[in-house]
Amino acid sequence: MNVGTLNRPILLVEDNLADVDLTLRAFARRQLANPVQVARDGEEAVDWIPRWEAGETLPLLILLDLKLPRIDGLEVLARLKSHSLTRKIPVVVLTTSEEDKDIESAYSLGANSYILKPVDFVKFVDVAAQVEMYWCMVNTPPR
Amino acid sequence: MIDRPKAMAARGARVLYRRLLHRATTLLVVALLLPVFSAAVQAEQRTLRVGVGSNPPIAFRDSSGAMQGIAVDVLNYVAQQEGWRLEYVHDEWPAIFAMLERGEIDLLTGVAYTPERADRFQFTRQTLLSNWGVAYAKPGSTIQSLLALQDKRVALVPGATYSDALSERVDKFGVRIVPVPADDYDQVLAKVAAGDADAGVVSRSFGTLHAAAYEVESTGIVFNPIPVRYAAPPDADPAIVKTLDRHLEALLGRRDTVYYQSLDRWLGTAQAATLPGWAAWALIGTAGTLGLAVFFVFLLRRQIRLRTWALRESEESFRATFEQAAVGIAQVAPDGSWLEVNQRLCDIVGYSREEMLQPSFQDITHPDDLATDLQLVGEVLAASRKTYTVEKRYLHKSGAIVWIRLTVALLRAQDGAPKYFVSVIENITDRKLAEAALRESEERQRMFIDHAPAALAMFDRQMRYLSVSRRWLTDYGLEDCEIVGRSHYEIFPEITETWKDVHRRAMAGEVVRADEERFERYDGTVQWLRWKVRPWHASDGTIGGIVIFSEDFTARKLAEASLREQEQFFRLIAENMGDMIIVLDLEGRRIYSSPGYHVLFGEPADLQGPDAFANIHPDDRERVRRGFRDSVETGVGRRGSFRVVLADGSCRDIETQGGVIRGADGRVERVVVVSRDVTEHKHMVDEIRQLNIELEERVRLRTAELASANKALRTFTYTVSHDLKAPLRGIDGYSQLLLESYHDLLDEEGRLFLHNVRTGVTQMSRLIEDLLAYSRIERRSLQSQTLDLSHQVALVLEACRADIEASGTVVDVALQGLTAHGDPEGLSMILRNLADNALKFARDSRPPTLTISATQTEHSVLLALKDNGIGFDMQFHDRIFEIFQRLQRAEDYPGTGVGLAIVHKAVERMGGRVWGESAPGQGATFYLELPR
Repeated sequence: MNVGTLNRPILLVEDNLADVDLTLRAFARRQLANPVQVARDGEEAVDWIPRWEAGETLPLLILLDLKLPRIDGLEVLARLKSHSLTRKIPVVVLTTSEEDKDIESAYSLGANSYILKPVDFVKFVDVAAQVEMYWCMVNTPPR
Repeated sequence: MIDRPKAMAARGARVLYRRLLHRATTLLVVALLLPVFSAAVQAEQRTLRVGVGSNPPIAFRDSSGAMQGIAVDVLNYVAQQEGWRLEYVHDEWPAIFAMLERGEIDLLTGVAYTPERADRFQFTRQTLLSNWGVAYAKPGSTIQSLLALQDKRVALVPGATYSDALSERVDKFGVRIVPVPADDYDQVLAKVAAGDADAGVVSRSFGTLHAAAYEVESTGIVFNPIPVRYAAPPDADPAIVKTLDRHLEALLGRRDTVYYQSLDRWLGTAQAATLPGWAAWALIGTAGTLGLAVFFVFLLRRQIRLRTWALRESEESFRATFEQAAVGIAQVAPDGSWLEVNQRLCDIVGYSREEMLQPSFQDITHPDDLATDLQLVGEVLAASRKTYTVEKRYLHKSGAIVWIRLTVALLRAQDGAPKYFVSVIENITDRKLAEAALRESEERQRMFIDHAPAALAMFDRQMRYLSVSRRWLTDYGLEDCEIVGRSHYEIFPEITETWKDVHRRAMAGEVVRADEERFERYDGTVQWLRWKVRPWHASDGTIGGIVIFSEDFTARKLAEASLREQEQFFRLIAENMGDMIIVLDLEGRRIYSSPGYHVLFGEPADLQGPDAFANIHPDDRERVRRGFRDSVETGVGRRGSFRVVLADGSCRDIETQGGVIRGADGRVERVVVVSRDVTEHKHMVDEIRQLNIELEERVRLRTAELASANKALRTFTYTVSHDLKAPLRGIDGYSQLLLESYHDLLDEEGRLFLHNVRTGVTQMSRLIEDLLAYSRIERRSLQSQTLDLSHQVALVLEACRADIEASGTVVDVALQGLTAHGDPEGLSMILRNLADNALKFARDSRPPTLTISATQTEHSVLLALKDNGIGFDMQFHDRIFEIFQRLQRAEDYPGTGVGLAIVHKAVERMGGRVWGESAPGQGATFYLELPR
């Protein structure tokens, strides 16, 4: 158990309200200790950067959808990975896109993982549990 | 000249008389003194050692050891007369000569006289007989002259006179012989007869006697005539030689002596009359005459005085004739020495009279002529002919050759013994030279005709060939015929009356000619001839016959015809092609212009002068002129394009290709220019270019539209994948939450509804996945690599393992290590869908089977997946590959109707083919053909 990771938030970048709700529910089922912050579009996601610069706690993990209003998910990824402060934050792309081009681009820009969002809710909960388990408990984040 | 024979006769008579007188006197004296002498000699009998070297038949030792031969016979006779006792010593020639030199023998029989030997020994003055060397060979031998002895084996007795003489002679001529030594003359001829030698040298006297026995023949090579005499040591008593001489003179002077009997015995010479018991005759004659001697002496003296006076007068007349004769006259002794020569003969050979009397005729006779002369001399001596006449060569004192005509007659004494030859010598050098010049001239003329480059033939009045040139023979195919002397009409039976008429006209004095005439031989070949027939005149001015000159110019005629045909061929091309052809001289003036040229520029009459540059556009003219000059200088034709201005002022675009014509000396003489009016062509090209530009622009626009459409499509599928899935996930998620959280609040029916909602969501989700897969297949870029079919199939079967195990399907794979060519993911997707299909539709068979096999052709590999499932009706064999087309209800066999569409699309993009064969309930086989 990484004691220092318990209170650090997870940033969920997701425009679909149902998906936000279902994701939060899936995490809730796993009794996730980490608080979840939600950005509803790309712009909101990048707006976090100045706040982190101002001293707010950096997220333990960023879950990033690719198809976002205003600023595209890949663009958000590019900005995060090009900023010295946010560069080391693990970014897990969580999307329904199976496009080769998206997979290729995401990894090129520095995504730490690429996970397909299952339609089946049971499977979705399972995926959420695995992500939470791995990134929040197994993985050692940068300090 | 007319008096010559008479003078000769007179001179002959005088000499004869003198000799008779001398002999009569001698006989008288001998007869008177004989008894006294005989008594004296007998009183002191002398013993003489006589050397004999082998020289048959002159002197030799016979098989019984007795000495034999002519010289021995004569010596025995003399010894008997003189009361000598002879002691013969026989040995090899060199030994015998050595003995003679040391005085160990007193006489040597039958030895050749040479001036060199004369210095060392005493010789009798009288010659026993003349002998010479003769070369013998087998009959039919090709050896006929000294030169033919080159490299030949010649048998000879080493040290013998003729052996040395032959060696010396051949050395002089540079001829090398291979000597084959023999012990004696017998052995020489034996070796020739046996083939151990090609020729053999013996003395004439031996050869005459024995050649027939050995079956050899004289080669005609005779040489080194020598007198055979007796010799004595240098310091011996001269009386012996003198006595011998005395006897010899007597013996040789009469035909009934022991000498001639011996000749007859050894040489077989027929003697007209042999008087047996000559001694008795002589004694009786002497005794009978003795009484009357004193009386006769007076009468004799008186008569002698009278005769002497008459003779002196005759002799003076003869001598004047002799000296003033226009021909050379000589008396020659039987041994060849000159007895008397006249001034004319001296003039012919360039020696003074004194000098002339030294050598013999052999010495001034040209060596090549000597043998013939000696042969004839021999015949005359042997009385087989009376006189002979030859043309031969003398060697002038200056060394020059003098041709003479020699007539020789032998004068014999009344008893028939040879006395001397009378030779008449006529200088025929001038005639010989003239003859040679004539021969040379004739030869030249013959050569001239023979080698004349034209066919020439000379005929006599009967049209018989007299002379013909080689060219005539080749032109008329007569190379292998001997035609001189044969009639022209006999050789050419096909000759027409027309030709014969021509010949007749020429015979009559006319010169007939034709410059070009076709002549057909009877074998059908055609010859083209140029000919001239003219008469030739004999020395008396009459027509001796005709000369035909003819030249066969068939080859040239054919070449001309071929050239004409070619010229027509090329003219036809030049005048009928649309292009313009002009030929220019080096100044650029038109020499020829083709019809095509006139179509553009007008008829020749309308052209402005011959300058080909005049109608070129002024802006281009200088450039074209420079190109023209460059072609003339370099000999390389140029390609060019320029504008021309027509009579109506309009411009045309012209393209040209130049070429040069060279003269026989290789220099450029003409320039040929082929031009084409490309104005229309140029316009067309411009139009096409413009069209192309427009077309390209349209393509670009269309491509942009397509790219845009493509992009929209991508956005669409993206939207489908993303935006359609999100609400589905919501429905699925919340219906699940509802079932979990509110399970107890719902009745059975409510729970069924929720279950149906979730089934719909699953179906919808699968459909979306398949659609995405289909669209991805359509858009993704394919790889091209070699695919191991066994490996690919194994991967797919592994992915389906759960289904295979669940259904208990029996899978059989037989791919023999075959490979295909294409995209690995594409193939994987194809196989996966086909396998899924098979497993799905065969699930109720007991047991389900799936057989995967492959065969290959030259360019492709054919994969077959055969199941034992429900199959399909072949009327739907096309529809099953269309998207969303299903043959079964979804509740029986779940599916989206996209699987086979994906297969079809993937196969299509990989350049392959797929089809299915089946019947309802019979299972199905799907064939997949891919490039190898």
